[in-house]
Amino acid sequence: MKSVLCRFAFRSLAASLLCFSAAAHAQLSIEITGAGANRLPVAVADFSGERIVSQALASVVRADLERSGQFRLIDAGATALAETAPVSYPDWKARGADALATGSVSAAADGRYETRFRLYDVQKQAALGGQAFIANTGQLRATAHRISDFIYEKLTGEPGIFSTRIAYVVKSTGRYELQIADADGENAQTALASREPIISPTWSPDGTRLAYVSFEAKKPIVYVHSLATGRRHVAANFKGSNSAPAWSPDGKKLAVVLSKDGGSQLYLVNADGSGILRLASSAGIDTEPRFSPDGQSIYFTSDRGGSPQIYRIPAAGGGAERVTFEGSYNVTPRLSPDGKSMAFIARNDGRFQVALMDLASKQTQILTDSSKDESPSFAPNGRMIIYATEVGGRGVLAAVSSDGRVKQKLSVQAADVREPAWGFFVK
Amino acid sequence: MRTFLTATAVCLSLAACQTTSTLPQPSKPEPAKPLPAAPTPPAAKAAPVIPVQTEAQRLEKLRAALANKSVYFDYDNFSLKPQYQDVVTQNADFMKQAGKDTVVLEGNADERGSKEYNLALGQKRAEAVRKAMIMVGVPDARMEAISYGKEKPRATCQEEKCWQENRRVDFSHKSN
Repeated sequence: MKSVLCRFAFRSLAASLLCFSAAAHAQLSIEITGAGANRLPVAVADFSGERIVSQALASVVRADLERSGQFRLIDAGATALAETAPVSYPDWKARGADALATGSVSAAADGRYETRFRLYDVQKQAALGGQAFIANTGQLRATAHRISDFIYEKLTGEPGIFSTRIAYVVKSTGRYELQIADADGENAQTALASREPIISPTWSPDGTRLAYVSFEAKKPIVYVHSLATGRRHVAANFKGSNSAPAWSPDGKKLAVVLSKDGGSQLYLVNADGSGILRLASSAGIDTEPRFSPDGQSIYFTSDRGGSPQIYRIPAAGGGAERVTFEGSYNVTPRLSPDGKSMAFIARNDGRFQVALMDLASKQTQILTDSSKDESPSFAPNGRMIIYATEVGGRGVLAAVSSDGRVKQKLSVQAADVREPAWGFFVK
Repeated sequence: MRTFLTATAVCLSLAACQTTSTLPQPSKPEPAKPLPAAPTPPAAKAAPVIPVQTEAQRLEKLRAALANKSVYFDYDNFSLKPQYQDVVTQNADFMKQAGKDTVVLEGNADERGSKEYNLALGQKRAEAVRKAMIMVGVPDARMEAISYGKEKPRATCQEEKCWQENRRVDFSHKSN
């Protein structure tokens, strides 16, 4: 384990300057605090011609791969290598690289840029494929993330998450901001700024909308916000509290928690706010609903048995089945994208920690060693879980791999960060 | 009276003033009495004037006082303790006086645990107070029980003395 800033991977002066200007906008900075046991050694050479775009694509790719905790970056030297250049496999083998990526950037006729790259298996001495992208300067980072996704998938067999986005809430004195940033913490944009709290943001399955709870009207109300248009509507505003929205996998409905009929109870409402339907009823608290990825079940937190525990009901309605039994406080169920495991928050000796349960065997593993963890959220490939925690009295985000090995800390200078929600794959 | 005092003050500060024009003129005849040799100017303090308190002002004062009184709860608990029945009764009495007022019962929780579970706990507390208010005759239609969960702590240290401050229900009266 070594503790290094992601920034270390930036090698060119251009990238350092970019980094500096970004820091002025209170960016989410990501620190790697733990890495996988068997990291694949990979070299990413500077792309030929990338200096013409004042953005170093290769360094963004290297930072992505490093941050994932799955790779060990091998120094590729200062020489740029185009995807068309012949590869000297013995040289790369001698440097310790199992895989090599090379590429080029060239100006296209319409003022945009064409980026090409190729990935090689050094051991097998074979090309693993490549891609070409046409992009304007504003899209070059996104191009780099696409390249990282390709490399990640070819080498690990799982889809990469470098092109996804993360929503979270930044709290500074008297101000709450719901922000959306790229998975590497860059390009943070504010979707909502308010003097009152904002909690429980959650992405629609198509990645275009966020449902969340805002207290801007001095009570909790559930809103649905279309990010690209800035249009927003009320999804649930009944007498009492309205909270804990959860999208159905088809994006048509929301499970919500309402107190309109007394207590906090589960309801289903169309995403436009119409057609309210009660899902379950109990004498206690029912909250934090989440659909299983197949849409068949709804997991939720309930104190119906005397202490807060996780239960499951059929989405079509029916009897509740208890899911957690160990310990006296298990809350915030979040299903993995494959539906096979469940992340949640368990209290152990007064510490609130991220736990992961294999749903078939019910085997549970505590993934963190912190004590104030909240709001876990799976990356769409299921590999990482982002969550909120506290370090030195400040709210930060952290991410842990589902095997507990890779660890990252995501923080914003001089502010609390909380309520992370990892977005879905962008089509 | 005020005009007179001001005039006196002005004249005392101006040497050119004519004493005759500034002598106090008794408003009604007084019994003959030896005048003080050197009349001291009246003190700068005005005689008390008690304004009339309008009904709206009186209610506003009470409203503000009630906003500072909360009901407190035990950890992970939402039953109303007997010692807070007084606060409930005072709020209910006030609702009777302020016939058009509505009240928002704002539940809160301490920081331990998840945001949404704490929101639900705060809701339970607010509803416990709502039920107690109904018991002493406040119509349900004039109340709304909501929760801020753990989002609005009144005290921020991470120990029981602060946590107990945060497990509470506040009364937010609104005149209509």
